[in-house]
Amino acid sequence: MYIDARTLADHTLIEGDVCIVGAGPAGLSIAMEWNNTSHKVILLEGGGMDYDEQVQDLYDGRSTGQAYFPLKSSHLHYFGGTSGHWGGFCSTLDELDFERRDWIPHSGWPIRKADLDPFYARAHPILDLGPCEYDPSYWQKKDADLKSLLPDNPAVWNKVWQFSAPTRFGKKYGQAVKDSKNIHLYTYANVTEIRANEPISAVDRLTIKNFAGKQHTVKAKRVILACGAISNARLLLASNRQATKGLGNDNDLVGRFFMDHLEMKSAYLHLPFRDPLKLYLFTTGRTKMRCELAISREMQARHAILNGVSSLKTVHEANIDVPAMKSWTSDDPQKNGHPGFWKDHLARTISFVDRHLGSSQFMMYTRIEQAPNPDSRITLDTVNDPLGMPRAMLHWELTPLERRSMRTIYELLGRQFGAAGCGRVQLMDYLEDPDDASWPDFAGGGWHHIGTTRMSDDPRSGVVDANCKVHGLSNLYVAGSSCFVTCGSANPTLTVVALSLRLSDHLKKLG
Amino acid sequence: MKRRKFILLASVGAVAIAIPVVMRRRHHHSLAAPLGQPDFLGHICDEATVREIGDAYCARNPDEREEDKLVSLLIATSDGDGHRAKNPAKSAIDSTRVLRQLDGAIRDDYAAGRVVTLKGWVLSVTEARQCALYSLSHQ
Repeated sequence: MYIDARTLADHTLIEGDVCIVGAGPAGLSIAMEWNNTSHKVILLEGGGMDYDEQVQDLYDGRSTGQAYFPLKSSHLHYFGGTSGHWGGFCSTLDELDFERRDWIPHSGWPIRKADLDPFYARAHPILDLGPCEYDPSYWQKKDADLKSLLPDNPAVWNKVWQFSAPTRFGKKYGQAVKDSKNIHLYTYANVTEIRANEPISAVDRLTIKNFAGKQHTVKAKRVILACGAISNARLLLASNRQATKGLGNDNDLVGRFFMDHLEMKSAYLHLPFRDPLKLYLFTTGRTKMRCELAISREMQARHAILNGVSSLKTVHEANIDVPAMKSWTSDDPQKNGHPGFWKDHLARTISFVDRHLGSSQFMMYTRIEQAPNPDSRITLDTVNDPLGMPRAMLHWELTPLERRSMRTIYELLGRQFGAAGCGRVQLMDYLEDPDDASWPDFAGGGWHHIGTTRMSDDPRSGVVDANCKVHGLSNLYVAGSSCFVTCGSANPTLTVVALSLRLSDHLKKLG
Repeated sequence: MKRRKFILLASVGAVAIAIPVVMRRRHHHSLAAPLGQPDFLGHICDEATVREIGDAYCARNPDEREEDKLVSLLIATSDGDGHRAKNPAKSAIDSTRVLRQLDGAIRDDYAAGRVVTLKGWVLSVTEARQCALYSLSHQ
């Protein structure tokens, strides 16, 4: 069922069993799990079925610290959410990502990877991925040309990525949601405040507003916030009428530990021969799987570094690549990320030629987790948006560990290529000096907003528990990457969907 | 008689000392060329880059900034474990063998973490010395 909240009579009361706030990958994954059940699901989307500039502007906000993408264009505010400009990169987190690592402060989830594995498998069809197989040998048996660059060694391994088409959740699930008898989708339903009971032990109601000047109330037995890591934190912080620091924020943790992956060019790989590196290269729309070079848990522990990977692209192709921090500069998400017809055509041609002739020089791109850092955070600005809600403000802050880890990764890769006698690694200028703490101007993230309502069994160190329930509030849950404790080296969407399915199962068991 | 004997003995002694030194220097010079040719790097980068790497190594290790010193170190490396051979001149007669052994030593360097980062290149100490030798012998 589909209702445009602008068409409702002012001050309508909407009631249901479960209310999901946000219709992106997390919210829609949960909603579809509840389709055709006896439960009345209220699905609230702040935007419409398509992009709407006025609604998108609600995501505008300032940022300080390390340069970041414009907040307004770094996530999308309409049905389907940020899947609307998602790249489709998927991989699982590693076992180590869930463990407490002595050398990384604030690391350690209250769940293990094994707890998520069944949900990774269930997430695959949702994201239109192939078999849930992340062992390279599975793919190598199917294609003998998928050859590993390095022999087995104790430091570097091949981590598998799979690629979604990518799935646009709005397009894929829009009709099913509209046709559903028990999912009630309300568009233009921006939640601006969560009100709790007294003495603030459960959510009582939500206030929704829209640009038609209408305000409605939603009541549900259980509420799931699935608005993304910036908006989840913003909404909790802005719900400060009863709790001055915001709901779920007794320990001043909401909004803290904002993380993104650092994604940037870092080194060159020189081979003495031309090689198409079929196991490692990626062509948009064609590649179903590839590997990236990952560092073993033993080496991460020995060198006390963060988890990161290196992906390869031929130097020819990389030379026409503009770093995301240089190309993703507009507030308008529709103006970013489009290389233009000729540039796109050139990149595809180069990719085609390199794939067939092979290349001997490759650019190595890093994707590395950011160390959890309480000072890297979302707060409320003093400026309100047109619906009267304080705008989000980001202070993105990196630590010396990211830089040292990145450099160490390439030294380890260089050692392995040298030991195998198959290549040499050359660091880019900015990584040459181990004592230089600065970042080049193209240092940037991957549009992965992570960690603002982190998970912990202890309310003093996390906002939600292992079941994604907000500590201290019996019926408020959070879905999505804001619950991540660390980000690993993998793009977050697959884990977002897996974690959401796990939350959904948990709620179903509660009845 | 005594003077004649002294001159004779002194001459014999001088020759006895000079011959191995000269031979060794000649041998070093004959090896300097092949030893100063980093084989793998020669396939993936140009001469200017090899010299840049070599210059950077010399700048960081001024005590090794001599051709003879580098040749000795490379010959010693080729004889295993980085220890000087008992008879370097004899063991290094076959330059082909030395180069083959150096290739093994380079791989061992990488495996053992005996690496240096010069001009961004993550290199084995042995091949960095080869670059340095190349640079010095082409000045």
